[in-house]
Amino acid sequence: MKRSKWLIVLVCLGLCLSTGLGTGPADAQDTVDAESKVGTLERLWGEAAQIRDVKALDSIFDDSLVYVHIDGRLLTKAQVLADTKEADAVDIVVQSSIARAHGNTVIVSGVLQLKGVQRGKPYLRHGRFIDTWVYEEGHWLCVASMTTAMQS
Amino acid sequence: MNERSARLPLPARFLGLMKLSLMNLVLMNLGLMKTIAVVLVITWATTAMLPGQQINSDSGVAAKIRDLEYARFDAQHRKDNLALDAMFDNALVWVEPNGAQLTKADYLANLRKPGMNVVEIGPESITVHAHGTTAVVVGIYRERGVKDGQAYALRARFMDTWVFKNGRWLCIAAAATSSVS
Repeated sequence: MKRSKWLIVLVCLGLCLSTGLGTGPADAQDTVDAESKVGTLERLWGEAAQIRDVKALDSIFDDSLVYVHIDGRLLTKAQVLADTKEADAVDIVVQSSIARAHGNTVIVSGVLQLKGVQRGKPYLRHGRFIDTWVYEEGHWLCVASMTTAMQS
Repeated sequence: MNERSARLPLPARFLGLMKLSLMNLVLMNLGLMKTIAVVLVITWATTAMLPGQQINSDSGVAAKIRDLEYARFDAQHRKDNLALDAMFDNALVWVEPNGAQLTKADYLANLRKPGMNVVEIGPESITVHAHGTTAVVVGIYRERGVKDGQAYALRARFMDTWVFKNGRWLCIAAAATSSVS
């Protein structure tokens, strides 16, 4: 009888721990995995932006995304997607980036180069970006992104 | 305000209490059915607070983060490195409005640099977006002061990310841009 009780207690405790604590990265390996997964998503984001794949971007961004463009505009997810569709072709090169996990949050910071033509004039800009990713319902989603124009 | 519903962090003390309750149950030698019922209730109560679950409007998190932001600006103004040290995670990524990136140590050292005098700094607007144990803040702040003998004034858009770590909220990333369109 006593053994049965212990068994039930252990099963329930295991259930609590497996469902409750398994939702976000908890140990060193999870941290490495999270940083690697988000790094891959960042590359996908760059590729999707380059070819204006709005569907791919839609799956990368959280619905409540807050986005600060290099020109200082504060945009919603819908505005970013519309902007991507309508904008002139832009060559985006991520020159450096580093991901850092904090539990179920990953911060990616780096430098990117934007090269394109706007209103007939070519431009080359460098920006320092910080992206915030959150692990939600089994997926990593970008919830915030900000690029600051780098002054030379 | 675009405050999203948020998830509550699982308090360590709750787990402790749960363990104690389970131990007590066994020690008190209750009946098997009673044990099952109580354990199931505890299981349900714990899973109801899972980090992955959305709980309706968490204005508490938004209010807490807003208070922390005001405290951060105040500490910047007072050059209170001790207060800022407590608010910033050691892995803080800080981006200045000119695009320069600083570590936590760089930022704290810069604040105390001779020749730097912030006369006024404060937020004009603050919006908190809560995602459980993560909160993103966007807003606009104004700053004026004297740097190396030159007066300056700045209006900048900022974005900060806070995470709930070891029982407290810590700022892990902060960026600003002087382009506000």
